[in-house]
Amino acid sequence: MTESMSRQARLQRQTRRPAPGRWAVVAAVVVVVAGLALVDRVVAAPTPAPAPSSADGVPVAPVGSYSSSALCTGGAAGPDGLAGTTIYLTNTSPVDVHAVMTSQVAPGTGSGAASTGTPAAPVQRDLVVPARGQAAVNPGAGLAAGDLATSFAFDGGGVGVNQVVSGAGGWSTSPCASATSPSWYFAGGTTTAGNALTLDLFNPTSTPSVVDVSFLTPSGVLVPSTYQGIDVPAGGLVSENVGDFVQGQDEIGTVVAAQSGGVVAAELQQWSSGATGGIGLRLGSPSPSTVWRFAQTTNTGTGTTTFHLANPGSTPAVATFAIGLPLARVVPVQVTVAPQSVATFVASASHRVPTQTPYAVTVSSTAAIVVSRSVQAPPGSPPPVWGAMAGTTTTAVHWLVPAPGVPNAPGTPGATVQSLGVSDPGAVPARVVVTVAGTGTPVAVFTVAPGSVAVLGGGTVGGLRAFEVRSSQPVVVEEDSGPSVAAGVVSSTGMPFTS
Amino acid sequence: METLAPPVVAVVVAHDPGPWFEETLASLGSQDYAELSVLVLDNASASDLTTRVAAVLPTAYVRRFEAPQGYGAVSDEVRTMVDGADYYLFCHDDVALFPDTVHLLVEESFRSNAGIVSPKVVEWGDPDRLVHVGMAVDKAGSVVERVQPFEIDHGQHDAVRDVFVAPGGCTLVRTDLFEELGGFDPGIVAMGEDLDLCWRAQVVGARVVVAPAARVRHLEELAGGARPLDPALPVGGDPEHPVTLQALQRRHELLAVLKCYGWFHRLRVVPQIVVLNTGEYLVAVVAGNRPRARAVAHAWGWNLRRLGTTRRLRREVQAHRRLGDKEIRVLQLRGSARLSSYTRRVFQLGFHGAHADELQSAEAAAGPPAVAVAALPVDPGGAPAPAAPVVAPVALTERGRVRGRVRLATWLVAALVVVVGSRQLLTGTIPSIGQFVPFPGWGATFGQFFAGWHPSGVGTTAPATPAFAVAGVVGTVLLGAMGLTQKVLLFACIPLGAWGVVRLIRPFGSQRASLVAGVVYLAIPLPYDALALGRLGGLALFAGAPWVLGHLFRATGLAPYAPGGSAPAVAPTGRPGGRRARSAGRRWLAGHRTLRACLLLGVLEALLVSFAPAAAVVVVVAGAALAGSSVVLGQWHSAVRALWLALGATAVAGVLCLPWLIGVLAAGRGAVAVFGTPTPTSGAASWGTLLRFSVGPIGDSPLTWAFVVAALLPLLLARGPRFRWAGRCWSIAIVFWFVAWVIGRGWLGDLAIDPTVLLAPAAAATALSVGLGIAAFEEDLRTATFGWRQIATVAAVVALALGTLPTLASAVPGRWDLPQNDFAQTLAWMHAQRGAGAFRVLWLGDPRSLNQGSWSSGDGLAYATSEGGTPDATWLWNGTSPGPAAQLSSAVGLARSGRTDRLGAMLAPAGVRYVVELTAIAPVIPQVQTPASYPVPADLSPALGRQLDLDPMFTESGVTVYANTDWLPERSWVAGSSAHAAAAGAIPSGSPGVLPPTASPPGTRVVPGARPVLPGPPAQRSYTGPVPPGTVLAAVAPAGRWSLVGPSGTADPRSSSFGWAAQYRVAAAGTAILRFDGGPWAPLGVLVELVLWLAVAAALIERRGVVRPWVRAVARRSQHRPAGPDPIPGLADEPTGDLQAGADG
Repeated sequence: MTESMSRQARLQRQTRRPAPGRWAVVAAVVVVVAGLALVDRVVAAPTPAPAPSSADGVPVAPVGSYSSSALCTGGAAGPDGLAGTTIYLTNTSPVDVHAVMTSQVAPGTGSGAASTGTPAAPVQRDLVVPARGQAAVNPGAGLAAGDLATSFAFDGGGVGVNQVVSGAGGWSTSPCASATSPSWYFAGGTTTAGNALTLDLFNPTSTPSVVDVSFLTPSGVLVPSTYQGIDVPAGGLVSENVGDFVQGQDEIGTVVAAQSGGVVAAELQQWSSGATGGIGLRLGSPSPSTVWRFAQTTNTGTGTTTFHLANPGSTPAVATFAIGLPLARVVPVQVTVAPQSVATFVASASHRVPTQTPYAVTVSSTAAIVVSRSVQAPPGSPPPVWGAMAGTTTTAVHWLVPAPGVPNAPGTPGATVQSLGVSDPGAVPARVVVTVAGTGTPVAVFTVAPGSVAVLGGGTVGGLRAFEVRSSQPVVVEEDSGPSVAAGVVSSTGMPFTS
Repeated sequence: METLAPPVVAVVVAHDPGPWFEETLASLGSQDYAELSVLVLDNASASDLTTRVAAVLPTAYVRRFEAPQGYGAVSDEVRTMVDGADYYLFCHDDVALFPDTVHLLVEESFRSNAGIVSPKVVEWGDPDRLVHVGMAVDKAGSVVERVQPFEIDHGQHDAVRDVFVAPGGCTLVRTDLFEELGGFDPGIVAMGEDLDLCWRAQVVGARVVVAPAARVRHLEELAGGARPLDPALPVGGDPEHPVTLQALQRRHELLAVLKCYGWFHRLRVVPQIVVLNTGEYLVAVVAGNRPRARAVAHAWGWNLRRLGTTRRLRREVQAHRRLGDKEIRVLQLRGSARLSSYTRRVFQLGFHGAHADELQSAEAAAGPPAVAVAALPVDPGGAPAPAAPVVAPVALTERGRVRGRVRLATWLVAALVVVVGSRQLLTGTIPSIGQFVPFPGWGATFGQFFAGWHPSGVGTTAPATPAFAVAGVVGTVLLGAMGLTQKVLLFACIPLGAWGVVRLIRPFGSQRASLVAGVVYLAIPLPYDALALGRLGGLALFAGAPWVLGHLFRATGLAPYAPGGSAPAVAPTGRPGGRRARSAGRRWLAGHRTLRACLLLGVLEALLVSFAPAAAVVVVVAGAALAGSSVVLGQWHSAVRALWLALGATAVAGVLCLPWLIGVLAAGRGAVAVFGTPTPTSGAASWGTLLRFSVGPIGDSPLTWAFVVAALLPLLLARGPRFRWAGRCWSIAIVFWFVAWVIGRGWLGDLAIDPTVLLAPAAAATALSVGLGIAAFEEDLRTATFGWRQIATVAAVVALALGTLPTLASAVPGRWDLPQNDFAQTLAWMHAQRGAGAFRVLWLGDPRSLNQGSWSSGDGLAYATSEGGTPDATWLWNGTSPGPAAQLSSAVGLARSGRTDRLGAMLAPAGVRYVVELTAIAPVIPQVQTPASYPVPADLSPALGRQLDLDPMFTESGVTVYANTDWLPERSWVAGSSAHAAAAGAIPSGSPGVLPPTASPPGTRVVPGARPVLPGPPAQRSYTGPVPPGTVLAAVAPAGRWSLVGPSGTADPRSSSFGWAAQYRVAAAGTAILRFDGGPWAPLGVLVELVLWLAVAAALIERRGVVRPWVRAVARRSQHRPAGPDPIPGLADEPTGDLQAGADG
């Protein structure tokens, strides 16, 4: 009995005695597991790269690309057209770029889904855009009069394409799209008396597309049945006069949604008031956004600067206008846009914004919206007295600013670059270098303060030269072209390079 | 005094009887039956029995045989020696009759008109215990006792009744019946002669009854295993694997069935026996019950070899038939007695218990001296060779013992959970999710292995993975049912893994620990996540990891993994005669235990690598982790052996997969892609997720922390080997968690391995650690006073119970979250588009979303192709290098970087008609299925949307299909020469390998006017069809291995197109054949591979002793004897001789 008890006690003592190195092993396991858990928490897994901005559908393919395209619509062909069209191609690459240009006009019979006209055969031409040079083409040459669409297929990249429409009412310039999209959005159209609003739907692909078009008005959305199920044939163009079915609307937003395929959509707004008038050629935006930017806007004393907002969504959007002056910032202004509705903000009426001072505008919204801007020159000014352009959602460090013409073929007689504005929407100052496109010849080097804008005047950037803008930080670039009475009447955002 | 009693001759067959023999003789001499004569047949005893017989029973006759013969043959001697007897009383030499036994038997024979009468047989030393009261038989001839072992005789069996078999110790047989039956079957040497005789007696209409009033004591020296079978008896078998009594019984039962049934019942019953025996054989092999497996195999082999003899005997039986089988069947048991008995034993003892008991019985029955000597190899000098170290026996601790019923119930519940959780998958079709894609068919699956050409990308001659061959072999076993093959391959992994863990922990000697470890391994969510995500590799490693660890553990030789654990029980170090030269290689192999271990693990690794190439990494890392941990825990010299084994096994696996390995290594730096395609680092599993093994939808609950927590238990409680092995398990687990974590973060560059693969060894180590905690509780806390250790154990058990809940909950729906609908259904319409020409589909997405092998396109995007629609398993294992298909990736890269808007034109030369972008593993169907989603790089969708020649024709949640409006059929024809293709033949140097840029409007075909020719199903190596004069373009690589043969039988001139494809100039119209000519190297490589596999398999199977002894016996017999049935030393050759008198004779 005694022996048994002592044996048991011995066993118990043995059990209580720790195994050699037990706690070292336990500590090592705990330290490794906990340590790696800590590292795992501290060194967080990388988040996925954000989706690239849509670049408003106008990016310039990088130099060295294998193929790229430019898709232009909204203009008109022939002397009888409301506006003549010239397309300018700016090659920033060191090699010649070959292109095949295909132009055609809309059938022009019927409207909407009932368009039945037989399109004329497209005209195809081969082009060469010289290295670091520019070329101008008249896409309507050889075509009947009518609304015009032109596509360019390049065997390289680095070519920026913009088109200029001009007519008796004035002139306007807009970049051409570089891709199709199943949706396009516009803000700032009108069909009141004296206005003609044309919507061009161009399908450059080899598969047909079916498109629905609806309109946003202050009183809600209009869905004309005629504009539902519009068949845009492969390689075809459909041009619609919006006023035919949306009449007398002072403020219109346009939504183009393709049921199948993709198209390029542009609006041409022509305003005429007797002896004077204006033209606004606007490429749509492929998608609404919560942030819109305008690099440079200037309020003239008696002119009108208006921002047009369209909310295609189903929730109200509160848009905040952040206005950055060269040396100061203005208290933001908020505008509420009802769902599927439109609204405006007349910046020139705001006492917070000084006149004759360029400012950068960033519109931040609680819901995805579309924003554009129109400028009306003071009464009595020579044409063009009115113009409009779409905002941009893009910031980039490399921009192409096309010229409003080439010396032998200006966009309009006397066309010139009046100013070039660069705004820095970021939080870090941006060092900016402006060079002549393709050549690398520096024009200006300067720094833009965060949230503000720097504007190069005609003395620096005047004439018919295209520019490249390189920046240390993402910026927004906008060009103002003349002749026009007021800044902003003929203006366009630059074209960002995709890389 | 003359009596009217019928004369009875007691026939005692004796062979080297023990001291009991005198008692046997005395009992016969003391019978109260006057007309009894005794005939002793001395079956070649070592010493003549005449003297012994004469001393006890001087009136007895003795007949001595100089050569040992079977019981039946010896007994039949009575027919030639005795005349005038009415009854024979056949007795063994170890039975003792009670004084009235004979007269009671005769009396009962008269009373019942029985042909055969059996007494009640009781134990020799305890007559109150029953041994036999007649025996029953089922339809398969399985003999069943009517009494329980050790049953006490209370008179419960004292009624006279018909029985099917009169057991052979002491049997009264009417002489006329015996004559009509032709005596015993002389071919039955031992075991089963009573069954055979009684069955034939039933056939001729005789009754077989048991007369319990008559009693005999029976020592059962032979059947009980106390006396070995004389090795000189002609029983067949070979020295290494002598025929056991069990095997004799089985073969003679089968013989009786084949002889005694009529054709109808034979036709009905024999297939049932085949099925039952097949199942029995497989279960026995799985359970390691080799004697039983060999017995079954031997029974069939022996009977099949002597079918001619059996046919003759059957004719004799049928010639005397008086009763139909239907009437005889009434006397037999219903169902399968053996199956019922086995099931009962499994319920009582558990699976292993049932077989372990039988093995112990077999060992006991085998007896040490004579049989063992027969089994041992004998050196030329005749002395038994020394035995190699034997497997360390499992020392079950009493505390760790679990009742068999409890274990069986636990495993049944676990199996039930797995089966219930998989019921929809087991009974339905497995959707094409991840790597779960259907096999293309039995022939096509094998064909992929032998073809020498694989359709992945745009075609490659890289050798195929052996996985095709393995799947083909499994499919062959399953009679070509490849759907079933897929299910078997998938669902066998789970029980295999659990079994591996149970075997892994068994050396620690605790059944409870084995049980818990196995159940924990089943409860860990890893395999079910692998199922839910369609990860075949993860399942394969789940099955294989415990076995890999087992090999590595044994290689260390550290306790309790005894050295030589895998060595054979008997080393085949020498065999007599001509076998010496043949087995020299194997003998050499036997002497190199490390090499044998390398071969074993190498084969396992090769199998795993075939399905999941990353298994090679797992084996090496496991070996390194084991060695590294032992540096800290001590005994590192031993543990380093595991690392060497891992490296050696990997080398063996490489050799076994040599052609495929060469193909992999030919990819150069890209060879690392064989392990997997990199996934986006943004979605990498966190450290905590990896520790919880919940890398999928199953087990995404904090409760799954329980497994890791419980695995800490042995670190706190264990001592000695349990503690050290727990430390090693933790090291292994941590290393694999770490590797999975680091790879998920993308810190190892292009090395990408599926986390389900890497977590499998961690899961096995965790389960083992949990089991060690249980073992530690049983052993190391045995004498500890109550304290925190016991509380910690209880807490761990509770945690484990909670940890299983997520898995249990996930089992309820019945498909482990595997989606019901797959993209194969969503995109089934593609197959109908083949009429417009053969085409390829380019798949883009996260590699986990794709249903086939893929290559990286950067940023976690993967690309792959298929032909004619959605892929099957043909595309599951790609060549490591994409070859010319890399151009597809380059083109996609250009599109993503905005450098082209004509992607369709760039993909057209490869015949790509559709581009499919996947963002989930299956279609998202609200309220029906929410499969795992794997986003693609954010720039992909916009890039594809920008392409002017890609039409987004189909969009669902999880999938977008773009139709290439510029596509070119895979096999197309153009009139004249194809200037476009020829011009595109020279890809500019320094370019990313795509078409030279051209300026052409959308809708401009790469090859204008091309139309499809040479139709045929996808992935073929030959296409035939009419071709007019012109140019045929074929988008298959390598172009140099394809040729177009025209109607004249000559190959058409070939030139390059698009830089990698081929175009053929067709001069005359006619039927042409486009075919692949791989040359001799691919078949040669496959042949070498097959030879290697067969050689290694032969070596290992020989070592395992699985080769059926009768195969070798037949071979040996063919060398030394003329072919034919075993010669029975018959009495006909013997001189009849005189009846020898007893002592005075």
